[in-house]
Amino acid sequence: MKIKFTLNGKIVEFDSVAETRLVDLLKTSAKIQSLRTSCYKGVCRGCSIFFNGDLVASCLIPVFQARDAEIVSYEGLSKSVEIDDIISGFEDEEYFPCDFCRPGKIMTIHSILENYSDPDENQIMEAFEGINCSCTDNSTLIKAVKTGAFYRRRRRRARNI
Amino acid sequence: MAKDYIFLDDINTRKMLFAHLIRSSIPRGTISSISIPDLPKGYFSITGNDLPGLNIISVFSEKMPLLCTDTINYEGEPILAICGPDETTVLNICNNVIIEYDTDYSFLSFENYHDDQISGIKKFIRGTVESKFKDANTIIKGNYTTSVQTLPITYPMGAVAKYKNNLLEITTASQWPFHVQKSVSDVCGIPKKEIIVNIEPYHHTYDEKLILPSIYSTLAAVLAIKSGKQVRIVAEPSQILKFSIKRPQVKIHRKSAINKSGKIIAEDIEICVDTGAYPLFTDEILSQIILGAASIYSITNLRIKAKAIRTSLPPMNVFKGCGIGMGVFSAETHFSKIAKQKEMNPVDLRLEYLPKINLKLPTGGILKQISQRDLLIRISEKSDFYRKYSAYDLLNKRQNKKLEKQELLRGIGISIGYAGNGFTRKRENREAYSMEVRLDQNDKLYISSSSNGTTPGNIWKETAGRILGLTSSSIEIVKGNTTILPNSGPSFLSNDLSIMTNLVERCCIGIKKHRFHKPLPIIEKRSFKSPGKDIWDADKLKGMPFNALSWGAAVVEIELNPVFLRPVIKGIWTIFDIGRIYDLRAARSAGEAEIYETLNWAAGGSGFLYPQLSLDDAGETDKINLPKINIDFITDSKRSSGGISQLPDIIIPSAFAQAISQASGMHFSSIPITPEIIFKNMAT
Repeated sequence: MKIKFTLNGKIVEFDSVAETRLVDLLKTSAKIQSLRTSCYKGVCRGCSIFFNGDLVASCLIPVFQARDAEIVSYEGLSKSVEIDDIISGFEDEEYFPCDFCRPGKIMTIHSILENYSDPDENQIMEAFEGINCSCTDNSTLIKAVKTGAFYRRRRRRARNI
Repeated sequence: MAKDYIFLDDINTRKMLFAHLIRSSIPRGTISSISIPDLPKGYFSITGNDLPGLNIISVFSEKMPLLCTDTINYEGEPILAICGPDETTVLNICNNVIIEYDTDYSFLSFENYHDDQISGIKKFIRGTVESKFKDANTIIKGNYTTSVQTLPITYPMGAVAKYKNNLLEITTASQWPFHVQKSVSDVCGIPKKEIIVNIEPYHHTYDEKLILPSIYSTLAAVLAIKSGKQVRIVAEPSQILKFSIKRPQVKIHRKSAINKSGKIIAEDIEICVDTGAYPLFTDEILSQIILGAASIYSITNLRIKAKAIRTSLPPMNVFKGCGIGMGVFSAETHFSKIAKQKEMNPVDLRLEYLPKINLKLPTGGILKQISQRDLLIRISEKSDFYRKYSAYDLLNKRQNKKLEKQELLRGIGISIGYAGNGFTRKRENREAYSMEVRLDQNDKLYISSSSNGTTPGNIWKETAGRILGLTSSSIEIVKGNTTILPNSGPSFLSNDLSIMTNLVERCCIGIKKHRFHKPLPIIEKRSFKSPGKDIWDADKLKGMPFNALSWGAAVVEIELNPVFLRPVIKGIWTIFDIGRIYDLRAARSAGEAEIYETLNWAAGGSGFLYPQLSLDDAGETDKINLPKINIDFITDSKRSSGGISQLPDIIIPSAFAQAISQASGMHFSSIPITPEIIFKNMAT
């Protein structure tokens, strides 16, 4: 079947079997390299994408559901100014996740910051449930997210003035 | 930026072929027939009979088949591979391959093993145990088990191979690239010098990258030679989780003889290790579990017998180290059990058996660097262990009343242990650790070692930059291959940090000496070979087994909800003596991450963290319990560093089990401990 959707702001069309996992299509046909297939169960968040604005695991979405959808991957997010807040939070708190989990973690943090302007420990840890990469510790992660939230609040305030 | 996160499963070229493995669906039996559907043009298969060389993967003196040709020994054993230009078609073909088996239902069990399942035995004897047990006033027994642990996360595992102009080029993420080279040479029947192994960087590792890359690389190599094209084989995540390397199940039976005056006069220990269908690293694992089980306490008469048992499970061997932690778990938990029976504080009993000066390892190696007594005293003071232990003991004596009132139960546990870096096998059989550092004409520094972990890489850059006054951007860790990198044997992160960082330092000091006196480039090579037999006798387990040791002590305090029986971690205190610390922030972060991961395993999942249940509303609250983790370091700039990634795995499980034991009033001697297990124990 032909499937058409918007990927990182561009309309794309692929030929695929309807029940193919979206992550596989995005990785192989669309060459989205930030996606990781670590569990295929929607738990590890390595394949997180924004699907019509919601953060979802693309391994759980069959391709046919992506028809006319608006999809943003880490590649798309990294072109926006929004990512700067998160990276600033990482740098300030010296939080350096590994290459394997970094895209998924950044996508998750972006989702947190979209939902909470000043997230607390619980909100952060709840969002990170299931992400098992042990390259970094939780305390620094929480600090990095909170600092990222500070930068985002400040930037948005400045924009509103 | 995209280049930052390219992994093996991202490598995809236009003419590349894709391969997938077909594994056995039964745990034991023989293959009676294999029926492969008609393959489209460009697609082909290989079985164990099609290999140009040997059908084996060998590790030291042990071996296992690469592709099973006849007898199946575990579920998931590789049988054949299908290869072709379209990955989806390859997967469809794989789904249509029919393998018929004659199933053998006499599975090899770990519980009731037969003598012919024993694949290795190792003994350690000190003093006279038999006669001391005859003289004993009391004998305290305990059975300790640590269960199979699977990988909590799967990183891409596989290989890409290309054969051109009589040169076989392999790309894989391996902790042991020269083992990949040797295995490919054995299986493909071509000389090592015609095989180049490019090492992809890897990140966090559970030691699954020791042997698995060799298996996938050999398959990719055979297929590449057969097709003349580039071949990629990447394992499916579910296959890695189900069939890849796991922590072996270990059962330890301990008997302690106590004399009339309450002294422990002898210990008799029996260890059984489930190695799965194909034992690998057996001698190493048995040696290290013996070292852990022998404990650091001065018990004059000690007898340990360790056996490796072959079963019908997938191979289980090295997983986050070689098993010293599983021995320490039994020793520390048993010591606290003895303290409980003697109505002593566990710290006091431990101090009684720790020498005041020059601690000796059970194998005789003398340690002068630190006092384990200080470590124990410091951790107990910091955590207020004495007071809390006595208070909780007293409180829990009224446990029935507490259960009636549904009050929270509390417990605290303590543990001390050590980690050694690398292998304990005969020194003459160990590869030398080598390092090469080159300062180029443009003042760019290149560091080459066969290790490719990211953490040591950052520390090496920092070290080199400090000595030579270079910025981090002008230092590069060479993403190398087997033609340019030195053979340093299997890579463990502890080696990378302790030995290799020291070699980087020595190379850079050498460069500094010649800089501005000699023309560029300046190349400095240094290597480290383990000391000889006079220091360590691997057969008799005598002397100092490791090049360096790191020590740790931990206290875990828990609260147990009597209705839901879900342990809530109230506090964790740790002290790590890991020698020289290059980056305190990184060491603390690594320690905390490892503590979380160990607790995750010990509690049988993330139950200790998400979300906690409250007695007030008998429902889930939105409170997530992030345990307070206190990490202290004892630093010693003269000693080489390492061990922070291993120590939590060694010391935390026992402290956690002891804390649950105190809170529940039952003796918990196995890991993991889930609410279901607590309920079962308390109900009986």
